[in-house]
Amino acid sequence: MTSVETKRTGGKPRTEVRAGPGLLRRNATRVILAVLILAVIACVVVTPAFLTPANIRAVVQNAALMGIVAVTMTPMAMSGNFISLGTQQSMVLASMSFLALLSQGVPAFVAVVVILAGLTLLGVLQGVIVALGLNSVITTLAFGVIVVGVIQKVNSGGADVTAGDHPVGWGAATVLGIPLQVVVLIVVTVLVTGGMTGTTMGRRAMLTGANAAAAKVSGIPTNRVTVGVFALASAGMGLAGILGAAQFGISGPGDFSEITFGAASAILIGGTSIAGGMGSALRSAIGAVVIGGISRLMTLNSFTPGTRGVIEGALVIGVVVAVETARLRRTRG
Amino acid sequence: MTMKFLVKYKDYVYRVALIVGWWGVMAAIAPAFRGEASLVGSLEFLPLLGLIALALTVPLIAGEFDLSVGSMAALAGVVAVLTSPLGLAPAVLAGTLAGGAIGALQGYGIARLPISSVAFTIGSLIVLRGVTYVLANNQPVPVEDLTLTDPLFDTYGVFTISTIATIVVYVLVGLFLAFTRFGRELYAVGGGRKEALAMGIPLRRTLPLAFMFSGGCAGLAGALATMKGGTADPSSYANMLIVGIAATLIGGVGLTGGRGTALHAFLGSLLLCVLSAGMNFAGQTPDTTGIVTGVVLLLVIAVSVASRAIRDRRSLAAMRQAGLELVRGKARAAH
Repeated sequence: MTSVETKRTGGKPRTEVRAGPGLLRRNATRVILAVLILAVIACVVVTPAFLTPANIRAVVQNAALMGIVAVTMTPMAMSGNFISLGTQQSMVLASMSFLALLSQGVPAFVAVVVILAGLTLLGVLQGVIVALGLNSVITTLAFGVIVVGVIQKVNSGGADVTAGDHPVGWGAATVLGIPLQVVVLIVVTVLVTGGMTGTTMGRRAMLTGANAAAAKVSGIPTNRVTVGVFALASAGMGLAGILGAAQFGISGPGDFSEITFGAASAILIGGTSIAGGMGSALRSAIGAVVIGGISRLMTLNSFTPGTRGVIEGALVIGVVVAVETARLRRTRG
Repeated sequence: MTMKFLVKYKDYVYRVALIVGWWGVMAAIAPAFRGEASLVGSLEFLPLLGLIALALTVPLIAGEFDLSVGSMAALAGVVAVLTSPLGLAPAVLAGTLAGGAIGALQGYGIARLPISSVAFTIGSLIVLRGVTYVLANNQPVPVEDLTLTDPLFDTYGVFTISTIATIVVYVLVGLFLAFTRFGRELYAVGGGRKEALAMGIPLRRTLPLAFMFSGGCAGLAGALATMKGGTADPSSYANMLIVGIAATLIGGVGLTGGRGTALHAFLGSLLLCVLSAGMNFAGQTPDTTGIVTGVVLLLVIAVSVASRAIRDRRSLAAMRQAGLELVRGKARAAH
């Protein structure tokens, strides 16, 4: 298994193609695992109740939505398209319209299909615009602003939406004792990880991020790659929005306010380069769980929102610096 | 002569025309949006939006992102309110200096650590928000002496102290960027990072400077707006990042570094201010303004992408033509 990496350190650009047989041979993975293990040890020492099955379930369940968004957005970041600045808006669109459809008596299955299709189309539209030459930051930003405007226009007054007489029965469902959201996260992670490493399209996305010019010259349909990664990310937001709506049964324009930078943090903690060219969907999922775990731990120990923010932000910076330092040492040594 | 001027500054002329055009259309639709009232309404939002846009522009010129501007503004707002017993000017200055100092530290960290500015400022936007909550003790902090902020409401023609301060800061930063050595160095590291480093322009001098300006402008924006509002809410200004980026991009500042001036950021902010004030006077709700803003953003950028593509094609055609003539000339000479 090879991975192509481009990075800029101290201004010296270097490109490296390296081979490593397994997941554990990669430094980034090792650093993330070390952080994860340290975090778990710290949790258990500080709060013995942390390792109970009920608590672990709560952590993973809370992290699942952010994880789904982070995992499906990882190919976008890896292909050099940054992160979507319209994440929250797309998720709110999905969750509010899901509940609105249900309250009109539309069967849940139909509503899920309609919304996933609609969100995918929204992603395709953004991907096409980016492929035409517009910057992805501008495009996702503009779509976010437009989407939130449309939501508020349709739902005048900014009131919360519920499913009315047709409440969702499966929002808190479990499969073999595992919450539905977590099952979806696992399935999505397996699919995206497999797709990125095991399919032509996935390898092409990674190569496009490593060096877009080289990818284009070597005949990779970079435009199709762009449209594909945007569609996937947008569908992921739709899925997370639907699951959120099903879980809470109520949705408003202010929901998921921390998801945009939360998902970005998860991707970063997972060691994916936001500039493109390298990354792993599995590690993004782990990143989301780490954030969820630490956040839960701080809640259990009644930290104030301020202290929690300082620790979470410092964790993002610390882990990214640690991952990059480890990578540098490996390339230099 | 005039034609030459128009072509040379077509970037600015195009945006000024958009601003005047929008103002004209809105004045025609909404009778309230005319004369002094329309100017006062348009300028009301300019200090906050304009200074945030400038805070994003300076690092962008140096090829870096500062996503922490919203948190920085909230932090400076709390600092200003906490130091307000000292007086209005010292409080605003304290907020600005706090922003500048934290910004310089961020820039130094980005220059020295192996981390991109995007990753660093995603982290620091969470950290600074946390610090803001800690300073504010997790609740909104009111200004004790409400008469203190009265000067912020005095008007001088269509201007207030805040808009005058904003314009002065824009002029100073614009002159700094355009005419000083340190300012030109920011363009150098943004436009050609490798070449600038090879020339001996170190990142640990340029990036702290760029982020100091960014933090200072965001701090001033937050301090002025918060003092005017009378209460520092630690959760405020989170959406200013998105609006600020929109203004910066509509103004024509490049995302890839080395392109853009303070005037670009100013015109972009002014366009958004006139746009939202006009919609407001015409009785439109903020959500319509949001939709229009998004569409205008896409259109303005699409026009600049298209015009660049046309220019590239033209220069390519000219080069081909020149090549052809060269070959023909040689062939003739060989005869």
